[in-house]
Amino acid sequence: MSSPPTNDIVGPHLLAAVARGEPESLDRWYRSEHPVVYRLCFGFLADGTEAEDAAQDAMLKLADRLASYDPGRPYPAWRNTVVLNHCRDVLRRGATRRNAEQAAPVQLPTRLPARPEDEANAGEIRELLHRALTQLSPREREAFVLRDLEGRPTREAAEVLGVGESTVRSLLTLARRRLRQLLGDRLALGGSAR
Amino acid sequence: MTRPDAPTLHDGTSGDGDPLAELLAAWQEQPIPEATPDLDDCDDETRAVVDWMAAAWAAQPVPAAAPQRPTRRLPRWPRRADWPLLTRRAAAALLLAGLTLTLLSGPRPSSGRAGSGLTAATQSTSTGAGAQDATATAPSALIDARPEPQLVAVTNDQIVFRSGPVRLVLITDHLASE
Repeated sequence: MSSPPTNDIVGPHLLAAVARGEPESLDRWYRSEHPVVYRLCFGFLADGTEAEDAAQDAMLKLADRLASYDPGRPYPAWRNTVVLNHCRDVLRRGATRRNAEQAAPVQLPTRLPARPEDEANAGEIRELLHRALTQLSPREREAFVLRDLEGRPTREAAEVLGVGESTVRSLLTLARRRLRQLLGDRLALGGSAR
Repeated sequence: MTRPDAPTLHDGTSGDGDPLAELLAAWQEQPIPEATPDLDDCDDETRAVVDWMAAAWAAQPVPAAAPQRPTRRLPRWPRRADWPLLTRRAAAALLLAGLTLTLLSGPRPSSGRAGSGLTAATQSTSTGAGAQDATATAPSALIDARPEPQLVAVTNDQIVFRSGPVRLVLITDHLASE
């Protein structure tokens, strides 16, 4: 399974410098963290356009709250919790419109691109991701994004979601089943995606 | 996280140098494997779908974003002056100030029953212990100066009382039947 690019440069020293407001550190931290935060927002919201704004706002929230971050807690879990709560707020504000959108039948191509990492298909792949993620319930999407797409441990995902590990496992099972029903027939088994 | 305490050995062979005890000790030192829903346990189709999603997820482009300075919370002021709202508030404040001034500087009762009430109240406080300011009792004196409540009207479904400028209407549906 492919794993998203990770950023290992965010350490306690950098976080402390960002909390002190040092411009260079803030710049480094922002460039390192924004892609992760954007991906999380895209996954939680299942909306690329909305994710851009949400990621900007979430980055500001993170920067604001870094001063109160407890270094004894794993940074990724703390960051993911802040981003998740922000995305839940965004979802609550736009619930009516989003419900109407998700009620519409999803249109998917009969065949998925065999190489999702191919940049030539980036726009199409992104749209497919969006359509597939909208078919999951918000809770299923959160668990699937954290565990299967971002590769976070189940324990951490449970902590971020505020549920037990068994609940995360149940949500994952439901999400995978739903995605298999949606995409399974459209995927060439044994192709380069595996 | 390490293994919990050793399970009980039922065969009584857990002494020093016992291979079983060594094996158990080695097992206890190992970290507990994470209880994850393993993708390998899923069917081929599910694995393929999740792998495809993960590959697409990792490859998706991230829009460029410039770093932003964390905002220090500033007091919120209206961005644009809401003139109709400000005008209404100013008018309300002026009206309130005017009414307050009117109440404070209005004519005090100087004769008759009201005057005697005020005088009596003043006298009673000035002779008390501590001799507090006599004006502190003026409101009760003014209340005394107001006319007694009067029964104005009684109809089938309501009773109207009046006390000065205030009317009290009691509405009921029982009068007609009683």
